Amino acid sequence: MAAGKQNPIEFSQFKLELRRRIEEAITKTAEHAAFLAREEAPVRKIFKGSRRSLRQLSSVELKAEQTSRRNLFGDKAQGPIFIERERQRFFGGQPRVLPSNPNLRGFGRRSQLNSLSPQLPGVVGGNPRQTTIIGGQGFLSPSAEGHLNSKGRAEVRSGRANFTLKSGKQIVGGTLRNSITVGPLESHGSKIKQTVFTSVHYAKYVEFGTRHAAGQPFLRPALAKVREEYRSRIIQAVQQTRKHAAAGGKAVEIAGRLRAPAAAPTRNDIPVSMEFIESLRPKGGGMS
Amino acid sequence: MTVSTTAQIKQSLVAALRGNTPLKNAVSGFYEGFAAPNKPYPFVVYNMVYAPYDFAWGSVILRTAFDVYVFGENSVDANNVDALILQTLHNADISVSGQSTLICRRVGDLSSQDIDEEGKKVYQIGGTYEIWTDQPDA
Repeated sequence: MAAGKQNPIEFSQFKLELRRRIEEAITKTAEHAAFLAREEAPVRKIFKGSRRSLRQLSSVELKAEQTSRRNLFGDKAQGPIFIERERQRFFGGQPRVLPSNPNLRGFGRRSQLNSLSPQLPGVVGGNPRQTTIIGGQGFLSPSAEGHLNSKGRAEVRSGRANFTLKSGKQIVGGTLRNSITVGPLESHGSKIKQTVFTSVHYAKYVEFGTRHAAGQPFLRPALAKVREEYRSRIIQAVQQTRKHAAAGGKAVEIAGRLRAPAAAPTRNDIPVSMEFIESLRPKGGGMS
Repeated sequence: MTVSTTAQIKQSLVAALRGNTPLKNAVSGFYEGFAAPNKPYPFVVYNMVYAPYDFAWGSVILRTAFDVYVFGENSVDANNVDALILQTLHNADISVSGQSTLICRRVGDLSSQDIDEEGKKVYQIGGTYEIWTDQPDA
């Protein structure tokens, strides 16, 4: 092998390029693992029958809702007593017992409003898979209620299942799923690490199970799925660096030597061409 | 040839656990997923974590992982039972019908506490076992 006189800095440049590509491979694998974990993460079953999605009304829709109510009943349409009086005036019958729990008053008022006027807007969205609930804790439209099971109704009324996406959109359910994130790339010497994690406190109970419920693993299956992919990405990173080096001129053997050293090469044994080093330099500036 | 699934692996795992007489005598039972509330402590719970198929060169490798936990009122008892499980499964030559076992190894530990429906503190101790099996491709 024609090793020739080599500059140690040249080898370090090669290592830098290899490291950059390996870091890129790790990041891509971690992102894919997070995506798979989000797919695997269980979402609480709150709907009857097929899967649907609920959303909170936006502020504009809420305003429209309030305007419609005001147009129908005037400014006095504020309390459950008024609504009940109006209901009796329209439909007759015995006065109903109003909900005494203040948390249920909003819901009671909302139900009665709907019974008075089914044409109130914003009850069911245009998308057949999407049902709209009324914004604010403790409010649930009767139309939406029909799609929820008993657990789902409790979850929505209590506001426990409400979750705000990073985009600001309010949805119901999916806290665990949307909390799965990829941590920053950490390197300690020759070790490079990137973590896929969730900060939700009950995630470990879902992953590993409890005395009362079987585990529903979502992080470890995702890791198992990307195991092979990770290996092939690393191989690809080495091959690409080798190709890049080969394109530079004499450095064809670099990756081969890294993979299977014939006789313990020293740093100076590895030939790196100046063209390759030059090709690594960003255009219009030095190496960073 | 039909590719056999993880059902056979699970069957072999449980058979290996039940085959260890000291372990069988030490626990009230072996349950999949979770145990009913009235089951006495300690007991063993196992649950499959993942089982991706790796098709390569005319054969299929199943990399199956199982969580095997002991639930006990006493952490010492739970640890003792866990040691028996480790002794039974770690590097064990378990026989899976239709598949040849490559490895059976403990790859992770877990120690946690929980409160049962009677308000008693229970210890959840155990680990994750990976079982790799190989079989000819269909």
